[in-house]
Amino acid sequence: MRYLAVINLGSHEISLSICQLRNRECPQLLEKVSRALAFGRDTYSEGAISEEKIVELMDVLADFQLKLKEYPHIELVAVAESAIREAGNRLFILDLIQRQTGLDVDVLSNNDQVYYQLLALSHKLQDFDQIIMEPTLAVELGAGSIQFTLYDQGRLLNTQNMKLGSLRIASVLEELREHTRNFEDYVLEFISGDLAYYKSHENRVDQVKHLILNGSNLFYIRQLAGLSSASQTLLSQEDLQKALKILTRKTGQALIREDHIPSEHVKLLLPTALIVGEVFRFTDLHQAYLPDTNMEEGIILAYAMREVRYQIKHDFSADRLSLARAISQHYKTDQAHCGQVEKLALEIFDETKKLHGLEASDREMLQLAAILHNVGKYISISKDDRRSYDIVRSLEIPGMSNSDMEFLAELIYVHDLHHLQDMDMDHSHDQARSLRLFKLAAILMLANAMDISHRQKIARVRVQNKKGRPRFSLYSSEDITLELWNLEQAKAFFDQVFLTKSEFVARMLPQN
Amino acid sequence: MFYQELIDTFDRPEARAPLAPDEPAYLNRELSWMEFNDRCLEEARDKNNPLYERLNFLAITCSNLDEYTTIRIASLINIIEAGGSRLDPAGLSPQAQLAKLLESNKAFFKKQYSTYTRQIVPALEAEGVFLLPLNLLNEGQKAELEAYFTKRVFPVLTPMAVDASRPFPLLATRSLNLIVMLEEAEDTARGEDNLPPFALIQVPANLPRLVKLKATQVGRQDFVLLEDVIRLFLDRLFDNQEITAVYAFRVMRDADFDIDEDESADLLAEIEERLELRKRGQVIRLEIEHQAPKAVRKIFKQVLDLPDEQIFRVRGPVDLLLVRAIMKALPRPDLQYPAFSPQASPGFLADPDPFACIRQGDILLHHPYESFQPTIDVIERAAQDPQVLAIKQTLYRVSGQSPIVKALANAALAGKQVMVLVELKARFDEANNIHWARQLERAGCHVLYGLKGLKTHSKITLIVREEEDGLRRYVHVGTGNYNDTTAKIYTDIGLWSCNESLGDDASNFFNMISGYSLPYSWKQIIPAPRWLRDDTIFRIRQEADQARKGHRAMIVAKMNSLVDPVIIAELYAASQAGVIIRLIVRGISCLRPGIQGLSENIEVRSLVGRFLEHSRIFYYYNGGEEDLLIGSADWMPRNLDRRIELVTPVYDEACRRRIFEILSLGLQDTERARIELSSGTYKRIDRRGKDLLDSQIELCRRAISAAQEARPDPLHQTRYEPRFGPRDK
Repeated sequence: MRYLAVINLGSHEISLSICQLRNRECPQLLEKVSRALAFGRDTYSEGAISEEKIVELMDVLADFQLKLKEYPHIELVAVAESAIREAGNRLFILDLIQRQTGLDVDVLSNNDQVYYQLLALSHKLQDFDQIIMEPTLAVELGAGSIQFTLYDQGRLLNTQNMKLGSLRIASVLEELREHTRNFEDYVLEFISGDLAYYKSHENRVDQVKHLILNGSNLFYIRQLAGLSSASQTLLSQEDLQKALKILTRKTGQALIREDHIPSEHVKLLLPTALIVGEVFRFTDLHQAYLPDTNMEEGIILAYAMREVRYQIKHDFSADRLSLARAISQHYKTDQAHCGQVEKLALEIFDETKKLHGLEASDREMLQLAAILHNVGKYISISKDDRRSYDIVRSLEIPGMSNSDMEFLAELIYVHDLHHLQDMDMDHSHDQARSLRLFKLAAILMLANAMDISHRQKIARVRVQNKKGRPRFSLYSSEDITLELWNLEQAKAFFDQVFLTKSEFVARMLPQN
Repeated sequence: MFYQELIDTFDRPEARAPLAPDEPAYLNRELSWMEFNDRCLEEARDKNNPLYERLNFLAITCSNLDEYTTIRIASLINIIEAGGSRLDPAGLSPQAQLAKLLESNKAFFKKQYSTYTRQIVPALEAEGVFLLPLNLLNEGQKAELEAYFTKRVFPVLTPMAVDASRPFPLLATRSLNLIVMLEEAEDTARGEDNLPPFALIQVPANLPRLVKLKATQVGRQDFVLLEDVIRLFLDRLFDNQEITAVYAFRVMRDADFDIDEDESADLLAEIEERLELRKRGQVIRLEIEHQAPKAVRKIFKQVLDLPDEQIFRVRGPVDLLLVRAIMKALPRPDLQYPAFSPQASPGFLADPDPFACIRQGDILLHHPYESFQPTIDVIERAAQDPQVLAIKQTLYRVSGQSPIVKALANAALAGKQVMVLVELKARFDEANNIHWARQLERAGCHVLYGLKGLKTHSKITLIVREEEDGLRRYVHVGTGNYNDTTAKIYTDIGLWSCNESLGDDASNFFNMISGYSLPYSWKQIIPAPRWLRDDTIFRIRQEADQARKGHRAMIVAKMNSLVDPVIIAELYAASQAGVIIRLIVRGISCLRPGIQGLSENIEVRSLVGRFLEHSRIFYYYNGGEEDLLIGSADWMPRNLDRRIELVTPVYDEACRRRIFEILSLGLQDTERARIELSSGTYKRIDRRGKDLLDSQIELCRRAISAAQEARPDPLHQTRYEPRFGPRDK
């Protein structure tokens, strides 16, 4: 039996989730404890976390460590969210935690958070895969930010983050609350700008048929709406209006006393409810799914997938690829060419496995690079590599960490041979990473070179081992003299990386 | 369906006329408590009870009243002194309450002493037990007493003279003393206080209250009260002084104290300090022999600043707890109830491994009919079991040599994570609990000393065990304390279960009370404060709604006290809607049943018997679902709003059937039950046309029968069952 504990330093609470892991089985949550500690209030308003909260944090972590003693040999993952990530004194806090508790806290990027949230969501919501066959908007209402994720035909199309979390809004507009009777109007004004931009930017929102809402404050909104049963997993507009009415008419004290809302959530409910109202409005939908999951569940699932080979239904790899394609389309790349490069790159990868020794995750990386390699042309046709690098670095693809995105961006950048000179092979700190980069770049270069004309002349590539050397057979029914000529430079790099002497021959495509 | 059985036995109370406009809908809590104590006194007066049981009931009324005086009456006096004037739900001011209470107390004392003098003493004498007054002692007896006095009593006596240079000493609360009036010397002037000369002697509490004389006749045993022995030889303590009179008395002090927990850096030390201060609390009452003249009473009035209403003159020995001393000095099983040993629980006989038993299904223990030992066994077993990872428990009142505490300490020493919440503020058990808390800490337990601002009254245990198919939680939820001593005399229910939802809730509950976090919601349990009041009101209103729609609706509840005015108001509303409400309330009831237009559908009865009724059970018809819940909370404001309590529904069918039987038998009891009238007084059940039933005796019989069926007497088995060695352990 294995036990896993996940400590999450969130924006308004610290939680400890303990679960049981068994081989290939769904992890079982045993306990969850949480303590309110609104780091976000400090970070979003002051830019750094106060000493008072740090002291309290250390007390909470000491309590958690006591709790962990109840379980033998417990494995531990400790993460932190945006409130720590954006805090100016982040480094010192992490250092203090490490010194005093031994905990190494992994500060998650927004990308990581989105991935874990979607992982939890797809796992918890029954029929998730059916629901997203139609246009579906999943909204994660966090303390620091909100995340809009769009799905259609079973695939992820777009995910956008906006710094409009309930705690952020509450912190920023705190002063205003004391001095106005119509606080909700100001909140609406505050959020409407970004939301309107999102709607104008993402016109598929008009076609959305399903809405999924998630976030810890929704639990209390449900409660205020009178939905107390765990089986009531839908929130209607009417339910929301009921909750809003209570929130706008009662004071915080009344909510604590009469509705038993914990004091640390009271100020967050109105901004959350108003955002939900706006989402209902701009999607023109009347009800939403409330799966009631959290990021910690996603972290646990990811750990289980990795450590005990638990398999989830939803295909996140396919999501990443579909998102990449959507981005590629958004940046008006030559879809046929990108598709061709993708196809050829994958064929080369699959045909030369023994040569390159790369892994399945590298295949996906290669595929993403092929799909996105020309996004920079949207900005500059001639200087597209640098632009592609910049664009890809700034993307958020769930399941890809910051370092993964950095790698992807570099891969796209160096697939142009000229940029290889920028890479200092001898002094790179991570030799394994560099090697991986060059191998993938070599394959990508070949694939790209094979479609120099952007006319998709080569139907397929097959590779044979001829006396220890790869012979690439390029099947086409057209004249590929130009492609063969263009391959010389890419071939040279390929041979350099894999210490081989490759050969490229043209073959006629069989007529059948 | 339980409903039919409950409705078939319901005699709708005769409704009296509606309330007059200025008539309160609630009874005063304090006066209701006096009624309860009076019911206990009725048991002492009941000739159908064995004599020693009558003595026991008399002693119970004494100790009840002592505790009540030092806490409740003291509290009222404090409120009055602080200028409090808020009316209670019955419309009485603190002053009015105190006046009525003292009047009631005086009447009660009179009845108590009348019971002692006119009923108990003659009954004892008929059994050959004599308490001899000094004037009936013969010379031989006096000589015997003198020897005893010289050897045992005299060395420990410390007379304390009181005069101008020696102030009135601090008298320990509830201690028995003698005031010795001395001849006033002509040449000695009185002090500023103008008090006549006198001395005080504390009757040693560490010597037996009753001195047993040598038996000179078969079938007769004579005793003399210790204070009378001292009286007899008093002149030996006062050389050269003339004793003019001697009177026995005792004082009762204010024993209530508040702790400002926010200001207390060390709660344990603060409570220890307050326990010391308790000894010095304001004097609330003086009990003195009736023959003490006004001049003597005036001394106390002056020195203790005590008004007349708080001076009780008693026609008999001061402190009737002496009757317990009779029982102890002269054991007479023939004068007691037939011995009853708590029976084995069939649920725990199925397998030598108690965890295996619980895995087979929830197990209900009904004490004292069933032994508390299985609960101790589970915890002791958990302490030694290498698969057990953690044990958590709340302790409110534990027994002197508590096996539970010992098991917890052993578990911690064995390396398990043991968390114990010891409620230090359990009144009159503070010192005991401090002792155990320290012991547990020394053993390595993680001890919590209660919660700030709240008393932890819940009774729950959680054992986390690693098993082949994963982590499993074993939970015990009870209505009574983890006290193996009181488990033999209080009726209580304990439920052992490894139900997952209950396990999750128990885990969250302990995380909550240990300060880790506040859970969002509960799957099964309903804790207080925060959740229980709303849940209770919701359930009562739900029944009312059903009744209004013309559907069946019923509430049956068993508890120790019913005081909360909001809950009572809801019950009234439910009654008016047509809900049948049957309540078994052992002690205080502030509800007025059987009033037209208010409570004609409500019956309240009290059960006072051999065992102290202590279990809390709640039944709601709920449209046929028949929700049955057990827990630690009465319907009092303190339980619902100021204490950590726990109530849980019971789902296991076999357990539900047993709990229902408890309710059903209580509602059919003709021997121990008294029905509350709308005035707040009680009357015995009208037995005409009914089968006589003593619910406690019946439950004893059923427990014996169930135990015998589960584990037949080897003498009467049809075949012998051999033991096979270790696997039979």
